[in-house]
Amino acid sequence: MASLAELVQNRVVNFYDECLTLGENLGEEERLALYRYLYSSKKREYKTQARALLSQKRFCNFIANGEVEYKVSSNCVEFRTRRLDSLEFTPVVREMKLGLTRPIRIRRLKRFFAQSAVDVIRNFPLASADVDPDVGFGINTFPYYSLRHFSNGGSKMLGLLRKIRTYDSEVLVKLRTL
Amino acid sequence: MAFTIPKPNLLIPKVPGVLVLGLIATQLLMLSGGSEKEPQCELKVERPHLSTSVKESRGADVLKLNVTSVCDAPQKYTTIQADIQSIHKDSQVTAFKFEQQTRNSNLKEPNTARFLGLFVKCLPSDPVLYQGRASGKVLLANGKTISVTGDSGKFYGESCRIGAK
Repeated sequence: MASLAELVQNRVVNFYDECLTLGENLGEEERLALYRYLYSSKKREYKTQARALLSQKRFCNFIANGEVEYKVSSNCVEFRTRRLDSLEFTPVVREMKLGLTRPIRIRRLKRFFAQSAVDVIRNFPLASADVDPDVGFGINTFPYYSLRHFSNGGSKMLGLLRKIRTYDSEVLVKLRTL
Repeated sequence: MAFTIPKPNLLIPKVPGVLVLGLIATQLLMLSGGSEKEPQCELKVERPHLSTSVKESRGADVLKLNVTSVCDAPQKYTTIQADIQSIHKDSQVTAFKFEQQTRNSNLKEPNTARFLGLFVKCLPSDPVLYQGRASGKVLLANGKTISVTGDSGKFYGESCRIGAK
């Protein structure tokens, strides 16, 4: 029995699973890497969700320890969220204009889903000792899908130049390989 | 020679009564408006410090900045731009500039927004002097916006260098 117990090992936790527990301990670089990872690895899933949202105008999803509610109205999408053990939803966290054609709308929605996932993982991580439930919801003011994120609120042109110069961080490589 | 002083006719008002009443009402309104206190907000910036919680949970050395926006009236959210200043070669430089952050107040503390997760990796080194700074805007529950700014005051040493290779 003792020898059998020695053979039992914990599964190696992959880095994405670890990110789901880190919450506010995710650094700036890690959050951006997480966004890029989610956007590229969940493209198909997000496409299906985008189609459902466009046809039903409302869609709910669960990420880490949170529930997210998306709503589409008059060429705009918005989301609000709540911790799973709470009844109260936050006020609208982010909103984004959708395009006029369906392919553009779907592409933008995929980015919006990835951004909202990062926001929820940051604020409502899976069970973790460090979480303080009484702290308000915090986000990057400029979302990762906006060029203004890269210029930190400056011009879009500067944001584009900086975005071109950014490369895949070590964290993103880690997310894709581990 | 007799002369008569004309009697003033007190029954005919020189200023119309409606105008007098109007002036009094305006003055009362102005006085009551002036005594109403404007809401005040302040940004409390703690000095940058080595985070023990991040060190324990992730094994990494990070310099953390705690910022709290406190008002004497309920607020919806606060948006801040924070940075860490350091002394390098006898002059003050920006060691790290954080992304702009927005945080809601919560039901338990409707007047307060606490900024977490403002940290940057650093590597152990000889002590470096740091100061935290932040500025931003608070949107109050009544719809008014208030500009806020703050810093951690005196520069303090931490044995960790931002951006050290």
